[in-house]
Amino acid sequence: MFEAKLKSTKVEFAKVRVDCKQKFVRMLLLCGLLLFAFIPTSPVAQSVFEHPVQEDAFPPTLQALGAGWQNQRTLRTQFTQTKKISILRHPLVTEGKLLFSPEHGVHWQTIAPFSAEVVITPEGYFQRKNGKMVSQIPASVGSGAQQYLKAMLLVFSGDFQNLKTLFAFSFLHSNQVWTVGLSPKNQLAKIIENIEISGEFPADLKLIVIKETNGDLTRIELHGIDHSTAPLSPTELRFFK
Amino acid sequence: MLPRVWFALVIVLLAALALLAQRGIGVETNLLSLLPSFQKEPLLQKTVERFAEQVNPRLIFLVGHKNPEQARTAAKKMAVALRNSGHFASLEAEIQQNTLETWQQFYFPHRYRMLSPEIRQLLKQPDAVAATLHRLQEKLHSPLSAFFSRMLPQDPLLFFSSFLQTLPKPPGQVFLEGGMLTVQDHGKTYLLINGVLQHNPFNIGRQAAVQEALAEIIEQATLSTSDLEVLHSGVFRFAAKAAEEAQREVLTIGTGSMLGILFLIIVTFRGIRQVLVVVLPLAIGLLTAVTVSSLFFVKLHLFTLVFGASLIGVSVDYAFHYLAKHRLSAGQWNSWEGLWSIFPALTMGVVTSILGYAGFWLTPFPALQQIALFSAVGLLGAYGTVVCWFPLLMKAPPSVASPPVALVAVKWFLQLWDAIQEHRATPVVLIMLGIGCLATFNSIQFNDDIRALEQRSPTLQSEAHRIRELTGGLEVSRFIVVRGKSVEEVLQRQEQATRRLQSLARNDPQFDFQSLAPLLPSQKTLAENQTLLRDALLAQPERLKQGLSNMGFAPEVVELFVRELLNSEPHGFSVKDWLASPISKPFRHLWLGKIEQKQVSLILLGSRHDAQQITVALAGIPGVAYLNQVERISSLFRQYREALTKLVALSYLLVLGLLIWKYRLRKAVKIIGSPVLATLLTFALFSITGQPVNLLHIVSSFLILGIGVDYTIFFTAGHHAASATGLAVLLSAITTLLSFGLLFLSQTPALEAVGLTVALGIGFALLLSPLALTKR
Repeated sequence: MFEAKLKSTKVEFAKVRVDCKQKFVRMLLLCGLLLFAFIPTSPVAQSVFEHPVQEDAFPPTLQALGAGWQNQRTLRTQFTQTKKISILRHPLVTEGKLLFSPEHGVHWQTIAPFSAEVVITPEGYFQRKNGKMVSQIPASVGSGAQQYLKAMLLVFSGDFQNLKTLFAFSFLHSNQVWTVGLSPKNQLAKIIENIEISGEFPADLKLIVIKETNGDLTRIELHGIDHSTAPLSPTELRFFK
Repeated sequence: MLPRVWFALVIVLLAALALLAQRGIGVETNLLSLLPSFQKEPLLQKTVERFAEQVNPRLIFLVGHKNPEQARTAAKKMAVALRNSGHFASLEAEIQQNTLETWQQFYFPHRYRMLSPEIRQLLKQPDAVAATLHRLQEKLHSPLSAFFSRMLPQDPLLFFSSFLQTLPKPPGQVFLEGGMLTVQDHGKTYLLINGVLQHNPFNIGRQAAVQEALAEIIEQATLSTSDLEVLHSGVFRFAAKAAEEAQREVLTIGTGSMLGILFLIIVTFRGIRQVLVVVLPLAIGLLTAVTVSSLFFVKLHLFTLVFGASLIGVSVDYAFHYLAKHRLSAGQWNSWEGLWSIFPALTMGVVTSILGYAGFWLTPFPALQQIALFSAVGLLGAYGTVVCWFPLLMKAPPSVASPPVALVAVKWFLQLWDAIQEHRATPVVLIMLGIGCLATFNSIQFNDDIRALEQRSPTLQSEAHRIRELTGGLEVSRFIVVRGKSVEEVLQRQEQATRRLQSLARNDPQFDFQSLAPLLPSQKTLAENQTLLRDALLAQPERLKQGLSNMGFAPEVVELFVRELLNSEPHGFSVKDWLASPISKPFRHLWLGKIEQKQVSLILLGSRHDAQQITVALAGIPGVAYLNQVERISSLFRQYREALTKLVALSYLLVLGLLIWKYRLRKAVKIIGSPVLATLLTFALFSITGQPVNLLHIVSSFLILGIGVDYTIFFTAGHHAASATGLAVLLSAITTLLSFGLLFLSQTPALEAVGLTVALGIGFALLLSPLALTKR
C-alpha cells in the first residue's frame, strides 16, 4: 500500500511538471511500475525452474514454508481461473469459490460464467448436481487424471513429502514472496510441463500456474483468502456428501 | 503248453508297452476330468471347458512392501526373472504406457458411433444442442480442464473422451499407478504381476520344473529385499501341489505295501524263492494293466495309478492262496495238483472281483471306467501268472516242515467262528445286525460339494484367499453365459444383460462385473447412435456452429467438424478386428466365439453377488444364463452318488446270482453275507460318527464286495483246507489294509475317502469271512 501511495504522488508530480510528449513516455514507465507492484508473486524476472532443489536437501526456508502451509489446514478463498487453450481464440475465464480441507478435499464452486460445483476427494472426482455427488472419474481409472487429482490435493495441503514422489522441486524466494516449481517425474509429465505455485511469506498461497505440454496454460489466482482455521461448518461439510 | 502261451503273451505285452512308452504315456491330474461330460448340455459343457482352458494357465503374483518404491523395484525385477524363466507364454507387470493411446487409436475412427451412456442421455434431451454446449463449458471451466482441453482439436464436443472414460477399469480395489496395477492395504503397497503359463498346469512333466523355478525366483526376491512379501496363486499351484502329494503317496503306499508284503512272505513262507515268486504276478499284473489301459485311454489319470498301487494288495491274494497250499502241504506236494485244488475258487475270485469293478465301468465317469479296466486287466494278469507259471516255479516241496506262527492265530480264530456258528442264535443276530445297520442309514450325512474334494493345503488356501481379498478379483466358477445364433445376436443380448447389471451396480457399489458390451457394441446400437447424434445435433447445424464459435472455436474448425459429422461413413469394426487388436488382450477370455454352431461370450461377476438377484435381473433375455459351476458339479455329484448307490445294490445282486448258479442258494448267501454285512457296518459307522459321505465312499463299496467275496469263496472249499485258506485270507487282508488302508492317510480328500471306506470294509470282511465256512 505504501508503494502505491508513493506512486500516486509521483503521478501528481508528473502532471504538474512535465509536458505532453514526455507525459506519454512516463505513463508507459509508470504502467510498468504499476504492473510490477501489483504482481507480488513473481519475485524476480528469472524462472523458478532454473533453481532446482535436491530432494533430500530442502533449504530451511522451503521446509518452513511446507510446515506453515500444512498448519493452515482449512483454506477458504475466491479464485479467478484464466485458461488459455490454443484451439480457442480467446481465453476462458472462470470465477468462483474454493474450499480446501485436508480431511475432505477440494470443493470447487464455479460462479461465473455459470454455476457449477465440483468436488475432489481422495476417492475421486465428482460433480455435485442437485445436492448429490455424481462420480465423473473414479480414482482408479488408468490415466494421468488420477495422479493429477492427487497432486492437486497435495498442493493444497502442502504435503511436500508426498509431492516429492510425484514432482521434482525448484524454489525461488525474496524477502516477501516465494515460488515453488514442480516438474512432474512420471506419467504426469506427458500432460503437464510444470506447475508454478507462488505466494507470500509466511505461507499465503496466491497463484497457481499450470503449463501443459501442448502449450495450454492455466492460471488460478486466489484472492480474498480467509485465514481462519475454524473447522468446517455443517453447510461446508455437506459439500462433501 | 500253458506256461509257454502265457510267456508269449507277456512278451507281446512288453513289446507293446515299449512302443507305447515311445509315444509317451500321459498322466492326467485334473480332478475335474474325473467328471463325466454334461451330455445334456454340450454347449454349456464346451463353454465351461473353453473358459477353463483360458483361466487355468494363469498365475497371479502380488509383490508387497511398506515402501512403494521398493515394492515397485522388486516387482519389476521379479517380472524380469519370471519372464526369463521361459515358463510363461506371457507375463505382464507393467501395463504398456501407451495403452490408453492404443485404445484411442482403435476407437477414434468410430467416434461418431461409439457413444457413452452419458452422451446418449444428453442427446435425448429436448434441447440437445444447448445441453451439449453447456456440458462442454462445464468441462473446460472445471479444475480438470487440462485433461479435456487437449482432446478438443480431435474431439470438439468431448463426446469421444466420455466414451473412453466408460471403458472398463481394473476390477476390485486395483488401480493403475505408474503403469503398474497396484493395491494398497494396511500401509503396504502391492504390485500385481499377471502371468500365463506356457504349458497346461496339469502337465505333470512340467510341474516340478515350474515349481522349482518359481520358488527360486521368489526366494531371490525376498532375499534381496528385506520384508518383501510375495503372494502367488493360480490353478497351477493347486494342481502341482495335488500332483506332488499324490505322487508322494503313490510312492509311500507302494513302498509301504511292498515292504509289508515282503515281511509277511518271509515270516510265513520262509523262502527267497517265494518272495521272487510273489513279485512276479504283481509285476505282470501291473504290466498288463498299464499296457492295456494306455491302449484304450490317451491319458492315465493319477487317480488310476494310485488305485493301481493299491491293486498290489489284491493281486497278491492269488499267489498267497497257492503258496499257503504249498506251505501247509505237509510233505505230499504236487505242484499241478496243488493248483487244481484251488483253481475253482481262484477263478471264482477273479470273476467276482471283476464283476465288482464292472460297477465302475457302468458309471459315466471316465476315470472310474479307467480304474475298472486297469484293475480288471491287472487282476487277470496276476491270475494268469499264478495259474500258468506257479506250478512250474514251485515244484519242490516246502523246505520247512513246522507250521508258520501266524497259523496259530488263524486256527484260534477259526475255532472261535466254529463256536459262533454252532450257536443257534447266530444267524438271527447277524440278520438283526444287518437290519440295525440299515436303520441308521437315514441319518447318514451326505456332502456332495465339489469343494470338499479340492486340495486343501492350508497355506495355498490362505494365500489364494488373501489375493482374492486384496484384488477383489472376478469369479471364475460363477458367471453369465450369453449365447446367440450370430455374433450380432450375442452382442445385442450382451448389451441387454449389461444394462440390467449396470442398474444393479448403481444400487450396490460392491457389485462388480466385467462385460464386453461397452467395448463391442452391436451393429444395431452403432446405427442407433449415429442416427441419434445426427438428429440431435444436425437438425439445426447453425445453432451448433454459432455456439461453438461463441466459445472461441475458429469458424474453419467448426465447419470441418460439422462436415465430418455429416459425412461420417457408417463403417464399423468386426469382432475379429477387435480380437486382433492389442486392446482386447485383457478381455479376450470373455469372447469364446463359435461353440456348437452358436456364438458365445461371457460376463464375469465379482465374488460379492447375489445369485438370486442376478437370475431375477436377467430373466426374460433369451440366450442369457447365470451359471454356477460349483453348484452344477456338486449337483452332478449328488446325482451320480444316488445312481451309484443303486448300482452297488445291483452289483451285489449280480454276484449273488452268479454264486447261486455255482453254489446253490444257501452257500451263496453265506458267501455274500460277509461282504454285505461289512459294507453295512462301514456305512453304519459313518452314520453314527457323523462322517460325511460322498460319491467316493459309495464307489469304494464296490471294492468291499470285490475283495470281500474273494475271502469267503475260498472258505467254501471245505473244512479240510480251512487252515490254508485262513492263512491266505489273513495275509491277503493284511496286504489290502496295508495298501488301501494307507490311502486313509492321504492328503487328497478323494483318496482319503476311498482309504477310509476300504480299510473299514475289508477289516469287517476279514472278521466275518469264516461265516462262509461249511460245517464240519
